[in-house]
Amino acid sequence: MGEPALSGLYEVSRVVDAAFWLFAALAIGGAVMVVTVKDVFKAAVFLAGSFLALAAIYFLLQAEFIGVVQILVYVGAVSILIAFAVMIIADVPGGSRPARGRIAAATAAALMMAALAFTTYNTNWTDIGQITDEDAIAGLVGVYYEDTSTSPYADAQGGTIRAADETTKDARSGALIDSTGAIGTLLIREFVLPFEILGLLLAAALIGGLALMLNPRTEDK
Amino acid sequence: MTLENVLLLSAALFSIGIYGVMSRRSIITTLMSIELMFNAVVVAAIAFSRFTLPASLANVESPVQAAAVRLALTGHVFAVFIIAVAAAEVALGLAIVFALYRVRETTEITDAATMKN
Amino acid sequence: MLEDYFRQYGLLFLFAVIAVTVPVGMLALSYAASFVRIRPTRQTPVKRTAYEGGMPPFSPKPSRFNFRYYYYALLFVVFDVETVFLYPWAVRYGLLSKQFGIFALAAVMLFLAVVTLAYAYAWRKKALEWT
Repeated sequence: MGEPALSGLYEVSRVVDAAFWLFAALAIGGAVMVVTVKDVFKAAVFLAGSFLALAAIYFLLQAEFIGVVQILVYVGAVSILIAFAVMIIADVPGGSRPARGRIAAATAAALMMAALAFTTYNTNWTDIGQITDEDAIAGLVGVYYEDTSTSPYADAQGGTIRAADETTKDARSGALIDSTGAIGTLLIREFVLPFEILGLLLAAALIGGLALMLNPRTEDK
Repeated sequence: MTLENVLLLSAALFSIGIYGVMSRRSIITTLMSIELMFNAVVVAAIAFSRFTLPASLANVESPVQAAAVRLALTGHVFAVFIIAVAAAEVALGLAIVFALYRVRETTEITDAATMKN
Repeated sequence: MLEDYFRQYGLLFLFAVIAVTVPVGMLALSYAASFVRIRPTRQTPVKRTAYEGGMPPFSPKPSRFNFRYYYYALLFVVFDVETVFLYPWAVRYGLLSKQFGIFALAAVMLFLAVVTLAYAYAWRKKALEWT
C-alpha cells in the first residue's frame, strides 16, 4: 500500500464529497430518529450517533479541534448526562408521548427549512476562492510574519512564506494550519471577556444544578 | 461539498430540532432537540469559517497577515463557545427535570404548568 | 498538504471501520450460524436468567439508579468543558507569554479561579460525599 499509488488513484475532493454526503445522511437520519422514536433511551443513543457523524463532518471541514471537542463534550459528556437522566428517572421508558400540535410543529419546521434554504441560495457569499492578495493568503494558511527577526512567532512558525502558487492552492481549498493553536491565540487576544464570562456561566450552571438538587424541599420525596 | 450543501445540512438539523421541541411532551426529548439545534448552529459557523471570507478582507490592498487568521477562524471560536454553552444548558436543564420529577413524579412539559409547588 | 490531512484522517476512519466491523461481524456470524443449525437455541428459564456472580437473582429488573450519580455527571461535564478551553491556550502558551506577558497567564487563572469557586461550593455542600 504505497502512498504515491494511492494519491494517483483518486481525487481527494471526490472522496471528501462522498464522505460528506454519507455523514450528512447519518446525522440527519439520527436526528429524525431522535424526534420520532418513542423510547427516550433509544433517542439518546441515536442522538449520540448523530453527534458522532457531525464530528466527522467537522473533520471534513478542517475544523480538527472542533471535531475533537464535539466527541469529547457531546458524545462523551452530554450524551452520558442524558443517558444518566433517563436511567435515573424510571418512568421514562414508558415513552415520550407526542404533544397535540404535531401538524403545527411539522408546518413550522417545514417553513423554517424553506426559509433557510431560500436564504442559502439567494445570498451572494464572499467565497474564499475570490481572494487574490498574497499576504492575506499567507495569513489564511497560518504563515503570519515574513520577517523572522521581528516576529514573535518566528521560532514556532519558521517565519517563511511558501511558494505563492502552492500557498494559493491551499488557501483556496480552505487549508488552515494549526486551528487549535489559532483558537488559543484568539481566546487570549480577541475573546478574553467572553472567555471569562463563560467561566462565570459554567460556575453558575454547576452551582445552580447542585442547588436545585440539594434543595431540601425537593430532596427525598 | 460546497457552502450551500453544508448550510442545507445545518438548516435540516435545525428544522428537525424545531419539530422535536414542538411535537413531544417529554422534557428530556425537548432538551435533546435543543441540542440538535445548537449543533446545527455550530455546523453553520464552521461552514462559514471554512468557505467564506469577510468582505472587508477581500478588498483590502494588503491586510496584516495576523488579521487574516483572526477573521478566518472566528467561526471556530464561536463554535467552541456554543458547545460550552450547550453543555452548561443541558446540565442545568436536566437538574430542573430532576427537581420536577421529585416534586411531581412527572417529566412531561404539560404537567409543569404552575409556578407554585 | 491538504491531501496529507485527508489521508491521515482517512486512515483513522479506516481503523474505526475495521474496529467496528470485527466485533459486529463476529456477532452477526454467530447469529447467522443459528439458521444453519450449527448453533442450536434451546431456551430454558434457567438459561434466560441474568448471571449475578453465581447468586440466584433476587430482583427481576435492575432497580432505579441513585440520584447521586447525577452529581458526579454534573461535576464531570463542567470539568470537561473547562479542559476544552485550557487546551488551545496551552498549545500556544509559549508564544502568548512572549506577546502578552503575565496577562496570558492571568486571564486563564481568573477563568480557573471562577470555576474552582463552583467546585468549592460543591465540596462545602458535601456533593462529593457518598452518604
